[in-house]
Amino acid sequence: MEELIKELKTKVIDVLNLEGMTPEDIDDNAPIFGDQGLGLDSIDVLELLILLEKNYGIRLTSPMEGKEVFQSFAVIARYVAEHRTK
Amino acid sequence: MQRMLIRLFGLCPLVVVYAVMGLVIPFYMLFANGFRASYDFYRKRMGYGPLRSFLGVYLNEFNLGMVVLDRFAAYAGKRFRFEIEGEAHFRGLLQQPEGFVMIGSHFGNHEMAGYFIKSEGKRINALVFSGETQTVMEGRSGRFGATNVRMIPIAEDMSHIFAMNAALADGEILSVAGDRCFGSEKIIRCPFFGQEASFPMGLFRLAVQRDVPMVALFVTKESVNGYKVWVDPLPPAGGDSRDERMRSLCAAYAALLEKRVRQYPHQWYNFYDFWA
Repeated sequence: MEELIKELKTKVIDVLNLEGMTPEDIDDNAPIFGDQGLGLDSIDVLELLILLEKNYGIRLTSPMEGKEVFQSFAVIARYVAEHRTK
Repeated sequence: MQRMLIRLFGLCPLVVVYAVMGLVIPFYMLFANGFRASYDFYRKRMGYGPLRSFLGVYLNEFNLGMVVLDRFAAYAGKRFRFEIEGEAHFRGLLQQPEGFVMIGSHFGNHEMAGYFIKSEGKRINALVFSGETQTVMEGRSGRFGATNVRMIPIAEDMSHIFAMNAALADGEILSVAGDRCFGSEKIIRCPFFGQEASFPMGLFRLAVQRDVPMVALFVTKESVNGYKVWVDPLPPAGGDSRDERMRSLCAAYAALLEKRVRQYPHQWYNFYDFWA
């Protein structure tokens, strides 16, 4: 699971252009959104949706699902491990 | 008020309503917030003299009034004539299995596109401002039902983001305005009328990431009953990185918009300093 978390962080840092940030800078359990998050907005959500779909074959279709999955990298990794098709 | 307008068009010829509106506009211009920005556009960007710029503001407001009235006339059942330039390209995109992004603008009367487009099985998903009144939403739904158009209101819970992504993933058409930044602070600065201006990043980023074609659609008012639809394809994104590809698409759109605005300088409706 730790490897998957690191892989996800690396992909997110790359796709969202989070310059100067490394996977180690992000706490596995820290919230992704909100005041203590990564400062992401709606366009970044779009990137996260495409990232999950292209890399893991996971398609999130509702904001409820998104809220449930995009809580922290640990939660995303658990969801990916359970639902990935590629 | 809006329901009264719809009823009015059942009784009164459009040209009479335009004439009444034309008398009211000078008074409106005195108090309109966007006067300065509009005047500066004609002076600085179009290079008009003071008098011609003042007239430009009047014609701009008059055109905006006409297209708003036309929307309500359409809700009341009025049919307009459409002439289409570039239809073959549009039909070609419809034949492809993948979806595409159709960029609209605050130019001409983009909403009218929803009344003539026969999208042949590909649903059109139009991103709309959620503050539209119930009457407008109902009017559109009534007319758009026949042309396979679904409206996606911009929402706090980001449901529009999921709907936009799903539309393209399912091979449908996504229609978004390209000349207004909203919902996100992420922008692209692109040359427009000789100076860099801000354009919303989202639609270009989405097109690049999903690797779908983009086409700009401009619908211009040509006469009381007539509209012309310009289908302007964007060249495929160029560049090695994602950012370069996004920028190339944005620059292509900005160039197309400038070309059409120069052609119809009184039909672009952005009453604020676009270059700020």
